[in-house]
Amino acid sequence: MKLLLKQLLNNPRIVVLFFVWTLPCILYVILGVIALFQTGWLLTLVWVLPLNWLVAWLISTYWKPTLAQRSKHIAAPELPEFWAERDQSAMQIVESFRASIAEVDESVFTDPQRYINDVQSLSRQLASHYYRKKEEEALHPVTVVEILAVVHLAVEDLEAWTQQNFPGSEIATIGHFSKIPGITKQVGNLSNLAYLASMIFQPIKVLAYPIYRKSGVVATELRSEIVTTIYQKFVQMAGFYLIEMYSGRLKAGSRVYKERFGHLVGAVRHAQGDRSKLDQINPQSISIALVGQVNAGKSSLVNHLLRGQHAITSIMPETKQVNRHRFPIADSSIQISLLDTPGYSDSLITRESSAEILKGVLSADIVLLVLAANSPAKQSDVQMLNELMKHYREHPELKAPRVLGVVTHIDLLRPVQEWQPPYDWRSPKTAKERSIHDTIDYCRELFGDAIQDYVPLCLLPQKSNEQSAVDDLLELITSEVSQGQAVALVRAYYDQFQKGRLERVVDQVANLVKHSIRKK
Amino acid sequence: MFGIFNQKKIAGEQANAAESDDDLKKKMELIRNRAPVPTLWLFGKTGSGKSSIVQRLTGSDEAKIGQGFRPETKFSRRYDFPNGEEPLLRFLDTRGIGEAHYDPTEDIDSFHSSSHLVLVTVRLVDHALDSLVGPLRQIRRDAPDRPVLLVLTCLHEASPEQDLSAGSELVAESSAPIHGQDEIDESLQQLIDLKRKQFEGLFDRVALIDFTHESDGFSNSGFGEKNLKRLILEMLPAAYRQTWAAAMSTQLEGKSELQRRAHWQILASSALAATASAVPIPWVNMPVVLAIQTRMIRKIACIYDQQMTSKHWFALSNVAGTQVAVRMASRELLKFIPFVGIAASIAGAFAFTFALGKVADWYFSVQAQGKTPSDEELRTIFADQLARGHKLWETPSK
Ligand SMILES: Nc1nc2c(ncn2[C@@H]2O[C@H](COP(=O)(O)OP(=O)(O)O)[C@@H](O)[C@H]2O)c(=O)[nH]1
Ligand SMILES: Nc1nc2c(ncn2[C@@H]2O[C@H](COP(=O)(O)OP(=O)(O)O)[C@@H](O)[C@H]2O)c(=O)[nH]1
Ligand SMILES: [Mg+2]
Ligand SMILES: [Mg+2]
Repeated sequence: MKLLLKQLLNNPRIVVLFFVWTLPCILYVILGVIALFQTGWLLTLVWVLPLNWLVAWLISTYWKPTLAQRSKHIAAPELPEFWAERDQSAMQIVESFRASIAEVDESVFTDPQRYINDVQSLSRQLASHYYRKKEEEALHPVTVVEILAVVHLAVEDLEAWTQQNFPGSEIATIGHFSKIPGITKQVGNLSNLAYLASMIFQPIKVLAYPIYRKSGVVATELRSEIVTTIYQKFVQMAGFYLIEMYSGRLKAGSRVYKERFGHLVGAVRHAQGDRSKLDQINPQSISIALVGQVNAGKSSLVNHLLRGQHAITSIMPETKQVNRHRFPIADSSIQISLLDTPGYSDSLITRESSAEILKGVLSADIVLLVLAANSPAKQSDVQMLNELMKHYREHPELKAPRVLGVVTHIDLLRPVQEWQPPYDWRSPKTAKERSIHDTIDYCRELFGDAIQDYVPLCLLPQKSNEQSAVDDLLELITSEVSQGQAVALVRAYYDQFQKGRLERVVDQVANLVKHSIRKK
Repeated sequence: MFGIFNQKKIAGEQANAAESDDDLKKKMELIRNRAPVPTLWLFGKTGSGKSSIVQRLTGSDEAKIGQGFRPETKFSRRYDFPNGEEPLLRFLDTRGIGEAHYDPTEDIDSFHSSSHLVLVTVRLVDHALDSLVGPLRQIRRDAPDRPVLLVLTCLHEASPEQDLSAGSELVAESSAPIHGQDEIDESLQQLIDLKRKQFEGLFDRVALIDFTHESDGFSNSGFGEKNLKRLILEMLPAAYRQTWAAAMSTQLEGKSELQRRAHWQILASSALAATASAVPIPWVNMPVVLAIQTRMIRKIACIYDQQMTSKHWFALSNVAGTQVAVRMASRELLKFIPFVGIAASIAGAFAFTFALGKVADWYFSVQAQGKTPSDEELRTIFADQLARGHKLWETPSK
């Protein structure tokens, strides 16, 4: 009660608004009561209020919400872009665990054992998902620090959430957990206040007080519903961070995590799926690798994107090593580099070149697979994609880059001598359009889901494309940038983490050596 | 040139043969196996133009040609041309190296022993060749003596601005610069040199072609064909050159589909007849040659959609200028034995069968139009074609 008053005094705006809103209602009530009193109907109507309470009580007793309904109150969380597939399926485990939590009462928050137990059993389930081992062994790689970090982060997030849903409540640390019952008490206090107020106008209500007390159960029920909701939210949050932990991103401690990922997670949630907001996150650099068979047109594509002669293109296999080009895109602070690679499948290729290609592809945040439309021999492209997918299967903590297909040499499709863009290949009418359409169809058949989208292009500078084909490509690349950023971020994090660990080991060894030298 | 045999003897032999179709079939099989059928193994990546070559050389639509973006040849196969009974040429069309989900080792094993010449097809601008070079090295190692012709295709892709096919064919002798046209793009020479390097030690000679489809609007959709045929002829083992030369001698451009089919049938039957008469076993060849000729005439009639009646047999055998022996044999195969004139020499057998086929071809095509040619006309044609047949079968000079 005191808390509520304090809150109201702190916020006079609300008081004024409340007053202005409710003034007409109060007026009507008063006038109505006076009118009823004068007509003499008051005595017959006064029973309506306690009767309603009685009905409410009966309904709440016999019409309990099901568990599933209750857990619907909480929306499934927006999943961060950088989550790998394994993380996404882990979230389903969290959700079903959360939904299975039965009604809890206020005491849960004052009993730390309860929620630590719940977090632990959830963590066990997740561990077996991540390590695919027996549950008992699975907890092994998790440290106490990490569990604490999880709880800490979950509570931090809970703060924002409860403030959004229950204004006036403050829980920012575990210490504040015990305050949660207080919030619910306010609900009870509020209804008491309303009853008292109504008694002023309705002295006869005093008689109905026992029934009101009984209907107080309704308020309690409401209260325990709130508690359960908050608790379920807590479990969901904890699950979120457990996933982060098992994926290894939390290992370096929660502070670093917050720094590196916090803004991205936050931004994703905040933006509610609107990716353009992500571009506002501090500038990142991402790299786009251009791969394909020799003479597919990779270097030509670089020149095409950069609108100039930057890479050597030739009818002979020309590119011998990976070349990096800066690729500025309009209204974006993101630095993009294009990696032009030597083509694979060249019979004269050196071992170093092959290694270079692989390195280039595996360090890319977006992959453009350049495919010559006029060469149906695409086994080596299939192999390359398989290699790429295998790498990311073996490193499930990393997010795989998206692969886009750039189909070149479409000018040489039949009819060979015709080149009069624009070609509307999506709904083909002419022979050329049909050729392009069927080529893309064939690629789809061959590569399936491994390639997200295709752009057919002619990259020969002498034969210009229509503007819309160029725009198509730029648009496609731009739309993939935020995904690419997420890939880059996760990779950078792991690189950093690995590096840090190495440095620590080196330091420790150095210390040891120094130590032993001094001893001698 | 061709002797006329003792009629009695022949009749006796024929009767014997007629008594047993099975026996004849066995003999035919023997001849077929001995026939020097030039066998070309087409080896190259999918879309490199293997099927296009088969189609260009035979004019047949059997080999399905792709649109260029999807592998069209679904199975590797042996392709006997014009048919399996009288094979004239044989192509081993490999499905396509570098095609996704295809492992060529099995095909390589099965084609390895039965070919006389390997045609490696490569698009001139295609440098993604590691899937091709590996197996080729193996093939070369297994049979170092079998010649390999490197066929560089799709020249137009290398010179987008110039229609090469408007000029004369390009010739690339081993390691010498290309010649043939006054003005040759420098990059073309570079590309060919690069191909020589990429296939170093794996081929004997080089052919340059562009068989892009007519509808694509190039001046010549058979650019380099003449040179290709010549190279194949020169590279085939001597025993197979004759058949090849005969098969490639006639220009079929402008002929109707029926005429083409008849022509190939005549050539194939004539070549088989020549083989039969080369068999040193006395009297084996005789009924077999007759059977081949009879079958040829039946097939030509069939091509022109004509019923074989004794009237036709009579007209044709009469024209051949031989002592007519229309003999009503009891067996289906030798029901009519029209000709008694049989060549003593191999070339004679070829020429005689060829001339006979040509006469039948003309006869039935005229019949199909509802007219009946005169004996006089038929006789003139027979004489002309006989001479032509002899020329065709002359040993081609190397
Ligand atoms: N006709 C045509 N030629 C192209 C096209 N794209 C590239 N080329 C040519 O193909 C050759 C190889 O291109 P390049 O970019 O060097 O290929 P890379 O090996 O993948 O880098 C060059 O001669 C280009 O001019 C295209 O779309 N159409
Ligand atoms: N053979 C051949 N085909 C060409 C050439 N230039 C373009 N083509 C086209 O390339 C494709 C070759 O396909 P196909 O003969 O089926 O190749 P295969 O898979 O090796 O049998 C067809 O679309 C041809 O029209 C050429 O110089 N030679
Ligand atoms: Mg290049
Ligand atoms: Mg084919």
